[in-house]
Formats: sequence, C-alpha cells, structure tokens
Amino acid sequence: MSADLLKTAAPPPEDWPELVPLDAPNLPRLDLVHLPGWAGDYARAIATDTETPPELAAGMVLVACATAAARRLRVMVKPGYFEPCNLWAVVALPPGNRKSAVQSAATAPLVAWERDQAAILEPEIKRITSERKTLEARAKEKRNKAAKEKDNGKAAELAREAADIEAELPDIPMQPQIWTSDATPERLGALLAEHGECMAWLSSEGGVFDLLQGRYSNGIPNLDLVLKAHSGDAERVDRGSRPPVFLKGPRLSIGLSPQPDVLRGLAAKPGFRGRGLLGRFLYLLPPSPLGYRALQSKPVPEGVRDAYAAGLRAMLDWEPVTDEHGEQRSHLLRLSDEAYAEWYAFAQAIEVQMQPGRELEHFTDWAGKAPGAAARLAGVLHGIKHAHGTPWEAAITAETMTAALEIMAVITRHSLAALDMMGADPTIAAARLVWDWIERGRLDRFTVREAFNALRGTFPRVAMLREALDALEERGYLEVTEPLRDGPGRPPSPIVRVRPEIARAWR
Amino acid sequence: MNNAISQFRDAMRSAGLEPPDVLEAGKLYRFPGAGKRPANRAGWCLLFDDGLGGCFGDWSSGLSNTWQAKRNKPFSRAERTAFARRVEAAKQQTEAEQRARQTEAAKRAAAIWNAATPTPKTHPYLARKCIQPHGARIHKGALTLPVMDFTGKLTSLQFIATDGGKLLLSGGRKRGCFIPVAGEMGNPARVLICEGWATGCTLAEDEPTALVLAAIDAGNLEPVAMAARRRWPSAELVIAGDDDRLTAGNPGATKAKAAAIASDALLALPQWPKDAPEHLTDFNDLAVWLARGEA
Repeated sequence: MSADLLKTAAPPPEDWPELVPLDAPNLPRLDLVHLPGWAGDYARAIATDTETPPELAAGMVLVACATAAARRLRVMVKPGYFEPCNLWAVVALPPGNRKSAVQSAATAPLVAWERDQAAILEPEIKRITSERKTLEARAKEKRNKAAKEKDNGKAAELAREAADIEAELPDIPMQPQIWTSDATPERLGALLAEHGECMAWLSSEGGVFDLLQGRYSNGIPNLDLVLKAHSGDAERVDRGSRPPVFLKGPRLSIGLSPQPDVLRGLAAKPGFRGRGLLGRFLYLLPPSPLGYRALQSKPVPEGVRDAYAAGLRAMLDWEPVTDEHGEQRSHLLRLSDEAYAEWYAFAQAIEVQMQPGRELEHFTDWAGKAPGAAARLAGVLHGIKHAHGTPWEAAITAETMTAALEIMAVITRHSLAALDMMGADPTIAAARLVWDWIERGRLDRFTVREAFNALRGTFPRVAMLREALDALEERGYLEVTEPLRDGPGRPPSPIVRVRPEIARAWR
Repeated sequence: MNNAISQFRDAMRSAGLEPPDVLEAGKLYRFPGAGKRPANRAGWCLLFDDGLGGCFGDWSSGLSNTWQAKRNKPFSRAERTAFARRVEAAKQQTEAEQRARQTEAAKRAAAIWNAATPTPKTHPYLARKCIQPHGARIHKGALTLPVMDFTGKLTSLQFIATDGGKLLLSGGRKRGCFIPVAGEMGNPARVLICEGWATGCTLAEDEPTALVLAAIDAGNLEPVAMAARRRWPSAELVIAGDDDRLTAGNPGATKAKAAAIASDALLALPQWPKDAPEHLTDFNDLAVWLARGEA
C-alpha cells in the first residue's frame, strides 16, 4: 500500500535576488511639495482629477512655466556662465493614461494668453493691414505711371517714389503664438523668429521624434536649430526656397508625454545620442496607475485653477528689460551664496560619477548637462515664486535651489532608466536583446553555447554575450552556472536558468 | 629538482589532494581522489621533465589544475605555448588511461553480473530494509547491483554486504551513472532519483508506475539528474534526497536541493513524524520505521 512518501515534492526553495526590471527599475517618486505655491497646487489638483501620476502633471506644468519664464529670465550661475530658463521634459506613460487631458490642463493659460493677445492686437492688425494695402496700391500706381512716362527723368523719379513707398511699407503684426504641437524643425525656426525667439513644442505623442528624425526631409535629421534653441545660441538658417532666418538667442521649451515604446531604440537614431539631443531632456517614467484607479475624479477646485492661470499669466506679462540700444533682453537671476554652494556641490557630485566605472559613466551626455538643467529648474521655480512680482530683484535662495535639486535627484534616476530603455547603456541594450530572445522562445533553461549560436549575428563573440547575461543575472532575471565536468574532453557549456517564477508564468 | 617537487606537492595539497609519497618528474601518477579510500585512483599528477611545471587533477571531483615553478622572468609566448601543449598531452594521457581503466572495469562488471545469481527475497539485507530484490543478484554472498549509463551500458557494479557495507567495483565509471531500480526507461512520465538503492526500492514500491534511479551517493545526484533531464525533457523529475540531520551542512539535503535546482526537478525530503528518532536519514528509514509500527 502506498504511503505517499513523496507527497511533499515541490520546487526547491531558492534565494533569488530581488528582480530589478530592465525597463522600469524601482524609481523614486516625485514629491510635488518641491513645486512651489500655485504651480504645485495645480499639479496636485490635475493629478487628482485625472487620476494620473503626479510626475505627469509636474512635468507638464514645469514646461508650461518654463515657456513663460524663458521669455524674460535667464540665470547667472556665476560670472560668465548663464543658463536660459527653457526646459525639455519627457514624461513617458502607456496609452490610456489621459496624457492629453493633463497636457491640455497645464497649457490652458498659454492658449488663453495667445487668444487674448490676438484679441488685443486684432484692431491694430486690421488698421496696419489696411494702411499697407493703400501704400501698396500707391506704389503700384506710381510704378504704372513710371512705366508709361516717356520722359526718362520723370520716369526715374516716379520709380524712386514707388521704391520709397515700398521701403516704408509697415509690417503687419503676427497673431501671437507661444506654443505649437506639430512643426518641422525648419518651420520651428520661422516660428521662433516670428514670435520673439521663444516657443514651446508640446505634444502628448512621440511624433516630435519622427519630425526630428527628418520625416519631411528625406530622413536627414536637421537638429542644429533645435539643439541651439535649447542652449540659446545664435543660429542663421539660409535655405534657397525660403527667406533667411536669423535667431540671436532662441529658447525652445519641449514638453512630451509619449508612450514608453516610443523611447525604445531612440539612442540608435542617427545623431540623437551623438549630437546630444537625448541628453538635453529631463525624463520621468512614472508607473502606470491603470487598473488601480478609483474612477471617482475630484475636479480641480476653481480657486486653484484661477491661481494657476493668474500666476502663469503674470509670468507671461513680465516686462522685458530694454538695453541702451533699445533691444529687448532677458532679466538676469542671481544665485544667493548659499544657493550657489548647493548647486556647486551637486555639480561636483555629478562630475565624480562620470568617471569610468561610476554610475554615470555611460551617461556623460546627459550628466554633463544636469548641473545646467538644475540651474534652469531653479530659475523656473524662482519665477513661479515671484510670478506676481519682479523675480529679477531677488536672488534665488538656497531653499529654491534645494527644491530644484530634489527634483533633479528624482529626474536623474528616471533619466538613467529612460536612457537605459533607449539603449544608451550598451550592456543593458545587449541584455534586452538577449531577454527578448529568451522571452520569445519562453526558454526556462539553455546553454550559453545555444544562446551564442542563436544570437551569433548580434554577438560576434561569446564574451559580449556573457556581458549581457551577467547584466541579466545581476538584475535577478537568470542564473548562469558552470556545470560540473562529467568526464574527459571539452567542458560542457555553462547553463543558464531563467528565474523560476518567470518561467512558471510562461507555462 | 627537489625544490620543484616540494612546490608541486604544496600546490596539490592546497587544492585538497594528498600527493603520492614518491614523485618523480616525467612520470604520470595515479592516487586516491580527495577523501577517497586508499585503493581509489581518481587523483592524477604529472611533474614535467624539466621541473618547471606540471598538472594534476581528480576525476571524481572534476578538478584539473596546472602548476608553474616560480622564475625570475615571465614566460615567453613560445614557452607558454609549449607549456599548454604539455598540459594538454598529460590530460589526454590520463584521459586515455581513465578510459582504458573504465573499459576494463566494465568488462569485469559484465562478467561478474552475468555469473551472479538472483537474490532470494529472504536475504537479510532485504529483510532488514523491508524491500523486494528488484533485480539484485548475488555474487560471493553480496548483493550485486548494476551501475549503468544513460545509453544503457553497464559501467560498474555496487556490492552490498549482508551487514550493509557498500563497495563499488574498482575503476568503474560512476559519475553520471546510476543503478536502475524499477520502471521503464523508454518514455517515463515521472522519474524518481534518490541516493541509495534501498531508498530507491522503497520509493518504487510506494510508486509502482514511476521510473526509479539510484544515483549511488549525494555527489552524483546532480550529474544523474542533469542527464535525466536531457534524456527526458518533459518528464516530471523528483529528487528524493536524504536528510543528514546529524551531519554538519546536511550534505544529503543540500546536494539534493542543488540537483533539483540544476535539473528543474521537484524536491522531496523525508517528513519526520514528531517522535521519529534523529538517526533516521532517508525515505527507507522512514518507511521501515513506519512499517514496524515504531511510531
């Protein structure tokens, strides 16, 4: 009779390390307490209303405020070193996360400002348009007369008069525009030139990257203008078919909320990584709340909405400073000594981490710009704090700088993960390729030799494959064991075993 | 040269091997593997003629090391190549000797096995262990069990004396080989792998439909389990380990767990009733104790 001796047979208990996902490791959350006053209140309220992660609202509100701040402010970190206040932010979330609703809420005051400005300017535009038409008719009349005049002297006189009138034709003011959601890099240059060299490029999709990649220019990316519009460097665009564009200090803010899939493989796009495009963005990868939402939204309180609209409007209405030549310039924000000390400590810490073998070794393109981004962020936060006053009259305090650095600390972790996701760290990119192969085949066990044979096209040497496997092992995805020799001859290939809970789920 | 021999010995000792008393350069030696009986020949070593290097190993543990004498200047590329060639030659020589020994042992095993007689059910060992003969034979009064590899070839024999003392045929291959206890090797749905034959008999009687293999000792559980997994990828493997509760490190349970992990098998260890004495270690002990109503 059976005693059922093996009734307790079960998979052996194992001590696997904690699984560190390749795509979204356990990232710190952004605390909206670091966003001051009306901006923080509004970001919190939007996140509650839309049941979206606070990082999404924070990112979009910050870019909206940076768009306003960049028109009038720049930060002097130290004598000779200045940073404009425009920001580039990417908040990646899967579809269905109401990204458009959040973006629309954050940018609503910008839209309202454009509408109001258009209303204010409309009579002027009509008047100048009419005046211009009249002058054009007069110039035309003079030219016709000159053409028919038989006396050469009189003809020349009439032609000169027509030219004088044309030279004096008044420019018709443009309908003011401060943001766009779809423009080629070339059109962006024209928009910047037409609208005070300050624009925002806001989109809840990833099509911006397609445009940057040259969707409308035969796949040849035209990044120069966009890159210079991040740093505020002068740019001249001369194209045969279009009027030349000269920009003295273009400032472009970018706020994108694409799907995480859009980010994958961006580092491999020509020029994106090498020319520093990807290193200029501040990334946030919040976890998707889908499936855990209460679906009982609490609308944004009217007072909070009004305060946000008033604050952003006040920032947009800051008067520019005019220099002795009558040209408009940005106001200069100075750091207090304590704020500078905080910023300097952060810059030093980042610098050290870029050494070979340290955490930022593979992310120097991003990390090299992180201190500058921190200064910009401090400038924007300072602007928010002093929206209804004159921020250029007060120095950026240590408290504001600390808030900026707290935000940057979170953004740093998220950005490294995002750049990992894009394939910026070659080892992680390789690990992802290997993991894709494992997942496709639902392999719970294989030898390194089998993997090498299957992936020979991707990994020409076993050592490269082993690096990728080691990265997966470090993150708890698999375990590589050297099997015991079971006799003379060639040693058996190391065995790779996939984390049992993952392999069981595949079955 | 004496200095070289002394250093070579030290290197072997630091790898856990006890070198032979007499050691001459240029001569391949066989000696007991780590922790093995005096008659064992799993250990091997060769000090090269010039005394500048050598190699040694242990077939039972898979150890294979090289040794180089300390010298004032680094080896040139040519010297390194020559050294690697000599190591390879020594390994091939020992492997050839090993194969010859194993072939010879397999022949002796076949001869003994063919001449052995069926075991009566009344054999004292079977009675003590409360098990059936399961194909065991008798040779010179000892229970005789076949040791096979996964191709079905007889590689060695295990002898169990009436008092329970166990011996393996000298020179026979054991690593990755097993004693077939019960069941069909064709396409089994469930394979039970344990250490000893008596435990295997108990499990076979408990689960008559399963294929049961005895891996002979704890250290051989993993090679057998891995080979079984390669042979039957979709079968349910169960490693039925011993629970060496009174031995430091519990080698039975530890190696059974390692074998189960390596071969994607289930693990089972004896579940001791509260009043079971602590000297019981395996499933046979448990079954016998339960059968005798000692609970």
